[in-house]
Amino acid sequence: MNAALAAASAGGRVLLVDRSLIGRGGATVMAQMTVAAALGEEEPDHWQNHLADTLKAGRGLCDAALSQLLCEEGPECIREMDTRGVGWARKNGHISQVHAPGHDRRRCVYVDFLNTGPAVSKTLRAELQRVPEIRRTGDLLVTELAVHDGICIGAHAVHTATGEAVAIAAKATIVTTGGLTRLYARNSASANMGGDGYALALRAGAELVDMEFVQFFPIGHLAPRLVGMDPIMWDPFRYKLGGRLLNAEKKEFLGEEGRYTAARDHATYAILNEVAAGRGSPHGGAWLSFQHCSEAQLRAAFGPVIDRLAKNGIDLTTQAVEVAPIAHYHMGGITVDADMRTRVPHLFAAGEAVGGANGANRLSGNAITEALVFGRRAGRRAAALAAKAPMPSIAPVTARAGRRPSMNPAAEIVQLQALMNEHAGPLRNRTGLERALGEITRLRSFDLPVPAKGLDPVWLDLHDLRNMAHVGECVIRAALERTESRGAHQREDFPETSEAWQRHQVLRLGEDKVEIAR
Amino acid sequence: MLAKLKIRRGDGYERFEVPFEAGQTVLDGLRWIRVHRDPTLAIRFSCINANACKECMIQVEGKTVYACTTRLVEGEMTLEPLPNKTLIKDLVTEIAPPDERY
Repeated sequence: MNAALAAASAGGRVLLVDRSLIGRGGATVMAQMTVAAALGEEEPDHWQNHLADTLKAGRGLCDAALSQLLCEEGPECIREMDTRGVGWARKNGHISQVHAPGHDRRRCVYVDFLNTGPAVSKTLRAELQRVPEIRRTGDLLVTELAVHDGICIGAHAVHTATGEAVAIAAKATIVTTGGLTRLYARNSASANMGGDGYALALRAGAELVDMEFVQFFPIGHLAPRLVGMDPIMWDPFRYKLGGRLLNAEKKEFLGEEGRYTAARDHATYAILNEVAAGRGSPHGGAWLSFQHCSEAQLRAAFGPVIDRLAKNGIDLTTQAVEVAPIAHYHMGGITVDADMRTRVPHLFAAGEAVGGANGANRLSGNAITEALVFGRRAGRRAAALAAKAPMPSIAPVTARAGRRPSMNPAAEIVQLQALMNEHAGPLRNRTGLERALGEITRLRSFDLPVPAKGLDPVWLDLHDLRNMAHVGECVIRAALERTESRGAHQREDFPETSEAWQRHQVLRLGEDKVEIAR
Repeated sequence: MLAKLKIRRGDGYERFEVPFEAGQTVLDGLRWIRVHRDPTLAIRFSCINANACKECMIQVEGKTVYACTTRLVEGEMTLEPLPNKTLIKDLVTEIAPPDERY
């Protein structure tokens, strides 16, 4: 959405396409926590401090140019959102900034209560509606990018409600489809986070980078059953109230002493180690306790959220909840330069769909900053390019009447998610990865048929299964190849970090097979 | 526990029995049906259980609710698409703002 706004401001005419409703899906709307930017509202700060923390968290693998762009332009984008009325929480007349793990100072802004992502999405949606140069179209699923003579000339899509094929001609195209966390059984993803943009870019000839680095958020809600809230919600609880992460013996095992300091990758492995050692909570995670907080303290910090918890039968003053790692974000993605250009001319990418800015482990708070900053940069550059380019002509593809595979793709997707979680999740080894590779190659061994007339849910699942399997294969192949442990990629059979592996892996589509370029 | 979901599909209703544990939701039940019984069942949802996307609005027992925050109960529950919106299929209706449609 920020890319569309920036492109329109730069003089572009924009078509914003979403496979469901505009600004309702994706990751931003789900974010309940914080946004990092060196505003210096709470204490003096400089974007270089933010950059230093980002690079440190990235375990030596950040693309420095992208990280710098994120940190340097972050404050401007955050202030722009403030002007647009997003409602960053304030205290004593200034924007409130809190200390999130991995930051050297109080740098993270938020919207109360647990409303950061919804407020950002809503604000951007409202902005879009004021700009006549932006046409918005939902229920339009892009199935392939259109490439002619090596140049991206738009996209082929299906109108999901009718099954009609739609060809979209564009002078410049920006992929902003987010990450791939839907590939995992335990995820905090929207239904559209199955890696569509990666699959599209790969098939269009672009490169993917760092695909093995999937961030698991350590303390995703596990039990008791909680609805109406994002499973990631315990993060803001922890930065406001501390909280104690405990094993089955009700002992802290991260050395945090009631503070919230451990980096995400470290906390994830510590929890999994406790579980493996037989010290996990009943459902296979850890206990998170706020029992040291009074009702009044909880109410002051989270107001109506406490009532939502009560509706789920949860009273934090008397009980601990169970938490466990959950797929949360993907550091890898489409390879771009600092102008968000992919290697396919006229094809850009922005947001989580981009790989490299966060290296092997993302610093908390960098995701929305990245979405805003990269979106703005991509929108401006795409508009500048479009101003000089002729409008390409694009012909609708004649549909191949492929045979419909006789499976329940909804069930196959569940199987794929279990497979990825078990073998390509936070802990990996060669045997498991090889098994997963065999399975996933089988899962994508069909041609996508044409959709039936009208809404065709089975076809949609087939489409998603194919993309998810394609992207899953990228994760698995890159994870197999990287024979070391670093950040979000932990190999049980190669537990050490290797200096020789302080480099990226780039993936391309070869002859019907994903190849790792060196 | 067992919920009996009576789901409006086109002109008629279809019934599905859905096993569930306390705390599970109507959306959990609908997703279970698609995986275990009938993948042709059309539902619209995005964020699954966070109540962030507001896409899963349907009618349960004649009341407009979010499927993702309505709990399953033992016995029969009647599920219908929103009555005041254009029907696309099964429980899916046209809920996008008019200027965001294809």
